[in-house]
Amino acid sequence: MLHRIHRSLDVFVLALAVPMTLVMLACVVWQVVGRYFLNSSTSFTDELSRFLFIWVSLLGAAYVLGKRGHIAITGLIDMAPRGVRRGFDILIAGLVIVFALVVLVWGGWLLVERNLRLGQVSPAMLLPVAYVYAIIPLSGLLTAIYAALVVCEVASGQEIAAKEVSLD
Amino acid sequence: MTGMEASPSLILSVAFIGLMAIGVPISHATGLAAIAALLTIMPPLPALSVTAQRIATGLDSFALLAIPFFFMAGSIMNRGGIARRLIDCAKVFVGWMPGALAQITILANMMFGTVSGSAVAAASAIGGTMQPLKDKAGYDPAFSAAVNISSCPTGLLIPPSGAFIVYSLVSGGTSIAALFLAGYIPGILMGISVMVPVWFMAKRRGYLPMPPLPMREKVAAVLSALPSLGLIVLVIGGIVGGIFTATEGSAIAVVYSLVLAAIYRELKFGDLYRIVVDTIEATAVVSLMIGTSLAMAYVMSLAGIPQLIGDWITAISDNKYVALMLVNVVLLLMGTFLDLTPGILIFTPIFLPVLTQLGVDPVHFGVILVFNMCLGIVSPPTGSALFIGCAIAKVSIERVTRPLIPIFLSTTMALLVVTYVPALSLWLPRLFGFIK
Repeated sequence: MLHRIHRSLDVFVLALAVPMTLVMLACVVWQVVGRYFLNSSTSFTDELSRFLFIWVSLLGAAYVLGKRGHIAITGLIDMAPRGVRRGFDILIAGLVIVFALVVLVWGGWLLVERNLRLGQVSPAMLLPVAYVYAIIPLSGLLTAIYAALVVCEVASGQEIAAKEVSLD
Repeated sequence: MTGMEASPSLILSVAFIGLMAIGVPISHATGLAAIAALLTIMPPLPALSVTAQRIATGLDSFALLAIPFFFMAGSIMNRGGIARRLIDCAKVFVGWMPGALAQITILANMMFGTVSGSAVAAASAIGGTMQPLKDKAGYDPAFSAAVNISSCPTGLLIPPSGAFIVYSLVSGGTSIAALFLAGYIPGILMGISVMVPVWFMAKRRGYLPMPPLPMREKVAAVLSALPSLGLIVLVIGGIVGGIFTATEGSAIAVVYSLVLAAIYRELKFGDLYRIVVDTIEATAVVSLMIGTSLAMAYVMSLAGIPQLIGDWITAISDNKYVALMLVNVVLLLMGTFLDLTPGILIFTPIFLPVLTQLGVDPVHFGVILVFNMCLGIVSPPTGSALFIGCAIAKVSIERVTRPLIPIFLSTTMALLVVTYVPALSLWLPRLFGFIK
């Protein structure tokens, strides 16, 4: 059951993030092709790809939390006995929920609301900036749900192994 | 300094270190520490929205798109035959040396690391292919692992490199083209600083050169590696020649690697989906960390932390060479347990202001910082290169430490040379007119 919910959430997030990544790539390739072969320079590809990058990054940030893939220094808690380690895993997920709800959802919502009120639009596509920033509270909400799933998984002994993702 | 100034910086450092120590992901620990300190500086609502805004505007940068694209190109190139082709090419150049299989590992790691931009990918692709050969030739697995571990990070210095893109952003827009060019000589120097001690160690252990290859095989080996290395020529040439930006170059790299994969028929459609998902994961991890780090850097500057660190350093000495030595010691120590990206994100805002003030070029500091973090992922007790290298050779960290020490001393010497001879980093970017 727990795994089913987790998987459905993954499917939802990737259904947004994968096409967005491909469009982002297409935008930048198009930008080079357009400039050199069609002699047309567009500023909307630059803008669209940047906005997509923010969305993909923050959608992915929630998704990776569910995979326990964010880089952490676990040397200290790895030495703790199993039971204590579980306690820490739950405490960590709790702190992540605090971050997600306070900074991303609340802070992000304040930001979205202000931009809606001021009616800020982007220079090239005339897209309301609030739509771009809307990913912050959305990412916070998804992060909190994923973190809650991790708590349930750890508490019921069904946790998945941490997977470290990094650039090096 | 008054108590009013001390309290946000105290809260920031205690919260940050405490949260990281209990294993909270670094990105979230950074965000929580930033908001905790900011709440003592400004009222709650502005503090929250300003933090969220810093995260969003920090990510709103066209230059950052190079990170997912280079990662994607690297993963596509990572498939199938490229490791074997680069190893065959390396044989031609270093096969005559004592401990030939070790020297081949080093050179192939340099080439693979450059193409894939990843130390871990290089260590597993090259190290994984070379390990059975070295075992068969009677090489000590601990020695093999030490060679693989110390040479795999060279590709993080030799461009294209995601590390420099991250640094460019947090250092306030240092030219990516300048950083890329600056990484060449130090990266090659790092490789040579592994080759030299390995030469002597191999000689003492009685590991032999390879029998010479016939000329025809040599030519064939080099030719078969050219399409893979062509990626570098195309992308770096385009960026340095001003034909496209680093981000556009990275997108071209994806197209190039896809064409190559189609020609070699080494990629299935399902692999592509997996690569896109992997790319999203890696991008997300790095991006969230960049976002929260920029929020923290903002709080740090409000709390006057860079100023404070600057005062400490200049209190010891206002000579830039002494300051650089202090910074190197701190970075080497912290590098033993910090990963590459968090290392760059945490230390750039702390050290760059005072070093620039003392006359260090930001491009030069970028190279020093990345070099330090390369040594950090190698050095025990923790480090991504160390872990993967030990896993491939099936040896413990304790056993690999002994052969690692002489190599590590040599690479540390190379770091000092790079630190104290700025021309090694700055000559190429100057030559091409990217810095004055």
